[in-house]
Amino acid sequence: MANTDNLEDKKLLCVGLICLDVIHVCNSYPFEGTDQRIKKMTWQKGGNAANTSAVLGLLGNKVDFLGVFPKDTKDLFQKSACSFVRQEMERCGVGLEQMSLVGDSDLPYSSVVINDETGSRTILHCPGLLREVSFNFFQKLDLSAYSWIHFEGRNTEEVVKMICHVVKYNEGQDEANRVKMSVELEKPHRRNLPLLLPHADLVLISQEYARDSGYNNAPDTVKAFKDHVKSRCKTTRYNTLCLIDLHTLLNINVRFWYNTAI
Amino acid sequence: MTAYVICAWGEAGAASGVAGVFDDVILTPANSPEDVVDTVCAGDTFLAGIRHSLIHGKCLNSAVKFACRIASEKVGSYGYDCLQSFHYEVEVE
Repeated sequence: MANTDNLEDKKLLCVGLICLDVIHVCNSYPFEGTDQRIKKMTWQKGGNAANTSAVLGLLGNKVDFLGVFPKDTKDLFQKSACSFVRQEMERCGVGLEQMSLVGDSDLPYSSVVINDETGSRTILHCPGLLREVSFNFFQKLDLSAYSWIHFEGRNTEEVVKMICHVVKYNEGQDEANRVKMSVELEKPHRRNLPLLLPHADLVLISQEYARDSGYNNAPDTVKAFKDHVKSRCKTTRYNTLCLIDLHTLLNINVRFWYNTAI
Repeated sequence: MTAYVICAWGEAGAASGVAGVFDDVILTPANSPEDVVDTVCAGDTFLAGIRHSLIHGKCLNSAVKFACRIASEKVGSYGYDCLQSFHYEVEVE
């Protein structure tokens, strides 16, 4: 990567979800209708983007998290949960100044059952009154503060606009000051996630997403995606072609509003 | 930087390649912890490992190796406090 000295002054950013994970560590997976003791129960901050930013913080990077966070909640559980996850993020060294504070929203939470026999995790997620980060909020960011922005694979329609905004910003920058972008394709039911691909510098595909797209192993998945993920597509027409290509390849319901969002 | 594509497949390791380049896809074996105790946040940790390495100027192959190592550390312990004592420096080839 070019000019890392310059990049050292800049921060990383993760855009996505923050939530509370209520973790239950069980000796074995519970049976319905039984009353049983478990090994351990704990609270943990969760959400893909929040977790990634926390680990980046623990590894000593300057990192900010951008997600929706409840504002002035009166509910005692919500208040306690918000205070806990905020402290956890700060403990990991993550900057929270960029969070979008929204009234009339809930902190989502998940009950996570860990089976101690296998290490597997089963998640029961409660989104509550979940709000997503809006493009209008994102576009107020000072992009010059960041060297790399990661977008969690969710809220696709708004995130596509955010990516286009960064692409336009990058067009006026020299190579060293360009903001790199990464995206994550994780949840198969989010059918329009491939719209995040054309401008990404780094794409991560989950096993679950790959299987749902018809691949049975990691190398086949990467082979298929790497030939069809085009970075730095400049023209609208080219982007459309990329997406048609992906549509054919991955049998994904491509929506053409992306074309107009450029 | 050209576009990198990575797919992690649990114990089968992680595949990585460069978009638009005809080079082979590389399969990096997973580092298996002695005991898998908690896979919550494993994927997010893997991703953080990739970004941490790339931002420090490492090549894709080194980044994936580092990510496999830190993800293994994560699934071998409860929570993510274990990562505080993880070797912070990016692994040297």
